Amino acid sequence: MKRKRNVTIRRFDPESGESCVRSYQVEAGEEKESVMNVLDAIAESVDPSLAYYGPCRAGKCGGCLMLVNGKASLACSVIAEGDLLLEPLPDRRILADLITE
Amino acid sequence: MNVRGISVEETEVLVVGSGGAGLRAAIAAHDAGARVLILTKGRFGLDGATVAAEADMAVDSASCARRFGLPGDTEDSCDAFLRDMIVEGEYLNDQKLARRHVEDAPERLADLVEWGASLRELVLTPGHSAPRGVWIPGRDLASILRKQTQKRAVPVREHTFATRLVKGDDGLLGVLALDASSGEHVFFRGRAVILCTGGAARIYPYATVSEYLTGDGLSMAFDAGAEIADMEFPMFLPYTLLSPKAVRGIPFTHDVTNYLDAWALNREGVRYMRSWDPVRMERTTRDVNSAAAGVEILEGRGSPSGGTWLSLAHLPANLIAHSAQWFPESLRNWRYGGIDLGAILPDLSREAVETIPAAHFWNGGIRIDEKGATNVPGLFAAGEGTSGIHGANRISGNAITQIFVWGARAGASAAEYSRGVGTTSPDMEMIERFVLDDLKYLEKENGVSPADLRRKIRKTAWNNAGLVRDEERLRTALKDAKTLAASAELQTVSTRRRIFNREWLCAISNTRMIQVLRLTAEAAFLRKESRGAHFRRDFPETDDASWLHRILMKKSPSGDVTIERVPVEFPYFVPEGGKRPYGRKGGGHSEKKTKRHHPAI
Repeated sequence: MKRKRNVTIRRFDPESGESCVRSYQVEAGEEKESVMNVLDAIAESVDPSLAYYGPCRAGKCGGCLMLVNGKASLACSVIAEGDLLLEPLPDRRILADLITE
Repeated sequence: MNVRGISVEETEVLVVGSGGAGLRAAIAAHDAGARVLILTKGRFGLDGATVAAEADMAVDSASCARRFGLPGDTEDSCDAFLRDMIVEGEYLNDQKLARRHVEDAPERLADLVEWGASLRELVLTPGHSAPRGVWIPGRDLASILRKQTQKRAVPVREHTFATRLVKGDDGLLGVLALDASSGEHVFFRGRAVILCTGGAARIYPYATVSEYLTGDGLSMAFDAGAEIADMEFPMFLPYTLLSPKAVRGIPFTHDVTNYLDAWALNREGVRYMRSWDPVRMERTTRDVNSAAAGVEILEGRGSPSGGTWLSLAHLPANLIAHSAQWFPESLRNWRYGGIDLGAILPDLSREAVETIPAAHFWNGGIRIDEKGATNVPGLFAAGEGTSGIHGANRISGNAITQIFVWGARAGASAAEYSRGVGTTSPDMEMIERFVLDDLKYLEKENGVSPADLRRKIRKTAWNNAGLVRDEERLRTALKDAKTLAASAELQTVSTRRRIFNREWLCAISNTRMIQVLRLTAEAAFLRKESRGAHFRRDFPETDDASWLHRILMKKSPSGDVTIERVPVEFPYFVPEGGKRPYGRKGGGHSEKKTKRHHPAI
């Protein structure tokens, strides 16, 4: 029986200029998954409008740095445990959702 | 449909891609007096393979000793380096390009030293008969190149995704690109364009490199009439992590196999490498390790997630624990980059871990000459995704050398070319059609999901044009490529928002991936032998009697693919000829063992 995971994401739509908070429910995988894996699952199956960045997928490029449950972390390097609150890094201009300058 | 006004920006030399090759080319073009503009899909210097490389740069050992004060072997030579490269390339290298490559390497390393690179150590890596691996981590390379680019005030457009090369009657006019931060297309006019867009490892579901490496530049070049070669040789890196999902694609375990005596096991617990190389076993070459794992997986003896097992369980726990003290920095304490593998992997003294050969490097691609020029006037290319340097299999360290040698060559050549060329006006109607072609995915409803399509592309690439090939599978790959291309036209993107629309970019690059898959499958289908990174179970020998040829492909006037088989020239090293077992490299290969023996990367 697969557990559910609640993922809350602080979003920003650059075209409308509006911020909002969206919550998603996804199945928690049986294997250990990273926060990046969770973002991919949301984008692929639930909400493809989600904007996030971090191409190297190996903890090297720094692109996926974001607040994970309040702590600045590389989404690809952090194992997702339980529910998640994901926010863009503070003190930077937000380009869209979790992507900042 | 709305066609927004397309803005036009102009420069002399346009560089597409800001990885190692792109930035090195931009620096060279600038230093040769050209106005340069760089476009990059993500963030400047950080969105490709270079920044993540844990790697060495191959330079002949004598130069390492004499010019750089490293503990090199003064008996080594450019000739010996060239020979090793050609042997590893299974004699399909363009030997003239390879010669330039080894000769330029020391100068390009000198540039890096001048720019502040600290040369930490010199390593002997498999395939090399002398220690030629100058260790410089990718993040240092990226940092140095960014600094040098910024110092020259070269403008960089980030999050700008090139979607088309724009040609005129006389040659290239520029690049049409989509700026994800504005959602708008921009036509970048240039007198010369240098494609430094990397390879296409990400057409496969398991890859060690940036997710951006989907072969966009390769495919655009093909569409613009450039010759493409050696597409049947995508290189796989064996023993990369497969499970758990969080660490899929991380090469950590591959590196471990060269320090600890790790065993590759199929699901029966059999150490299957015995049937491929009973002497070196798991320490044989990457291509043989990859093909071997591929056969176990194909024949149903793989691990639960579709790979094979890698085990250290025969080693004492304290021996494994002690490795934390002597492993090189990049692996110490089971950390890899920002990832704490110790917290994620099982206890390796008791449990095996699932690994898989992951797509790692593209040996072939856009055909270039010694100047880095393609057959399309005004189009240059450098770095991974260009062909001729590596032949059928790249020797360790040469990806980093390639960045610098060929980035510099292409940059200088493009600057020179741009001085001589006139300006013709682009056909804006054609550019508008290109824009509409990109926009069409936003206009439709209820069509094919780009994410689903990408899964399908990767699945067929893996099963049918991956580690283990045969005629039936390759036919299937070609058939699938046709079907997928038709489906790609029907992709719809669920969000109309244009700014940072991942799904839209996915849809566009899906079409590129499908074309790369097709070209790869065509070449693999034609080559009825096994060589280097190309393994065919129906033709498992290397056939130097019939197959010392390269497979060239070009867009035909009707829009289809023209395929040509061209004999390789041997100005420097001539193979013996005849058939030989797959994986046995030619003679003259020193088995020297030294204290420092780093994995091939």
